[in-house]
Amino acid sequence: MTNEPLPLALISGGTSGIGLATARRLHGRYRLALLYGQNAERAAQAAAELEGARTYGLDLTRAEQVDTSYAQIEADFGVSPQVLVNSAGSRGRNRYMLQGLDLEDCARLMDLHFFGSLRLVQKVLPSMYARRRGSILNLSSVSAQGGYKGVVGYAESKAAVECFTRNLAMEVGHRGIAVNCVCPGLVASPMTQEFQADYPAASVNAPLGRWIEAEEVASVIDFLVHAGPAINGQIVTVDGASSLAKIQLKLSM
Amino acid sequence: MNRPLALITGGTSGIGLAAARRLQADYQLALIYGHDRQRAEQISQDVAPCFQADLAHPEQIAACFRLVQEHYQQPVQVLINAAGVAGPARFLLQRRDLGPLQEMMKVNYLGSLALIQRVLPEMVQHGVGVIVNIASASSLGANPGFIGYSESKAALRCLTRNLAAELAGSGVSVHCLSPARVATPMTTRWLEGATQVNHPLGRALEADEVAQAIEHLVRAGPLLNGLDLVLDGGQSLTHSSEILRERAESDDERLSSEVSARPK
Repeated sequence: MTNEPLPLALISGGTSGIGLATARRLHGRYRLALLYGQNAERAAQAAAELEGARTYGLDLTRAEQVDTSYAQIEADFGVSPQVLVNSAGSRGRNRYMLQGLDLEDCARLMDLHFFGSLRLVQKVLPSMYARRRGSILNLSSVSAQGGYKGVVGYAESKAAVECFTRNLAMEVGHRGIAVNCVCPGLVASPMTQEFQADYPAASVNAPLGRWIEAEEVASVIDFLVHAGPAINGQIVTVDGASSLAKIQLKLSM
Repeated sequence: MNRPLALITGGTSGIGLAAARRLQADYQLALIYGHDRQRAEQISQDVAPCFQADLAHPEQIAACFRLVQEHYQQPVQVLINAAGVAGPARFLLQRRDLGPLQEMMKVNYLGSLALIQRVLPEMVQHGVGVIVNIASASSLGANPGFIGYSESKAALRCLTRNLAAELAGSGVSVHCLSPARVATPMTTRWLEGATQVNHPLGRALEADEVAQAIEHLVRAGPLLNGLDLVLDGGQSLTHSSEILRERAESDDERLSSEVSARPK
């Protein structure tokens, strides 16, 4: 045993859904800095549950808030993160394109999912590059693969995240930094709660036929984050084979 | 009977202009340009009327689209989103200001989306229409230095694939073309001095080679929908590890010193 302090993991959206499930898995092996957007109550619950974890409320679309929070994290922990998990996400307001598209919402989702991830990567990357070590994990969605209805706006922002994953792996892979992406199907989480009732359970993630649990996605994240730089630039689909089936669920509008 | 109306963004230059020349005989053309008024005046005389709009600004798109509607008094039947902005390649570690990346996303992805939103209702109402989005082969693979640009094009490809699912059966088609490096005014500005051009093809594509594919999709009608075509001479199937290793070594030295010299 050594007295080395535990490494730091930074998880955006870390107080809810996939991010929280990931935080629970990494707790005990990492010190945790969890970012949240709006729900301070949920953040307080996460901080109470995960001993030693600190939570930081910010809007990832605001560069100055990212600057401030990140400076606070470095001051609080005295180190730079060894692991970054970009799991903050929003479903947005858009539905079918022909029912009317909210362009501002599309722009906001792009700003949150792609540019928000990129802003955090810009913060953690210099120290990872210098230390020749680090792991970055992004969250995509099967809707980014195409062929889905009712996902315009959301899906493109996730396609950008997948593209970013591959490009970044190519830019920093030679320094031992792994950049990977998990691409889930429909996951039971606070983000999807409002429309869970719209789907007949047996057809969700068909042929799996049920909602995927956040813990199932977190276990894949845990594996990828610790697999080392041999696995790099990969998009790992966690969807019960539903994207192979391309079975469309009709949303009730 | 009026010839059908085709709207082409970036229509005064590069791929857009080459597409305009191919469609000129059978379509009425409305060409949208961003900044080069002098060239637009010349193209207006030689090819078709040109309309100005900075596609980074939705209100300019709306105003420009109203002008086109007033001028032609008929629905747009073909939309070609060929306008694009890029910039010099940079590693993410070298970027401080995200402004240029946000500009690329606004024009390349959101600008195309805004125009699709304008033309789509009438296309669906009449059950006829073709939309062709010009993306980039840089969105397919892993490209050091292209973060920002290639993501804007990945978004455009994703939009195409999902929108095609929504439009299936409507008579309206949407496609996407992803060319490798094309010799156009845009790319000659920022790729000057590049040595490896479209390996293994070994040369830049001509704008008219892309326009040929556009023309084919436009004339194919609703049989084809959601095509995500790559025009890269097989580049995305090949491995360029030798080139990459040489690059990584020289870049790494520079980036390392930049990172260590950066103020905390």
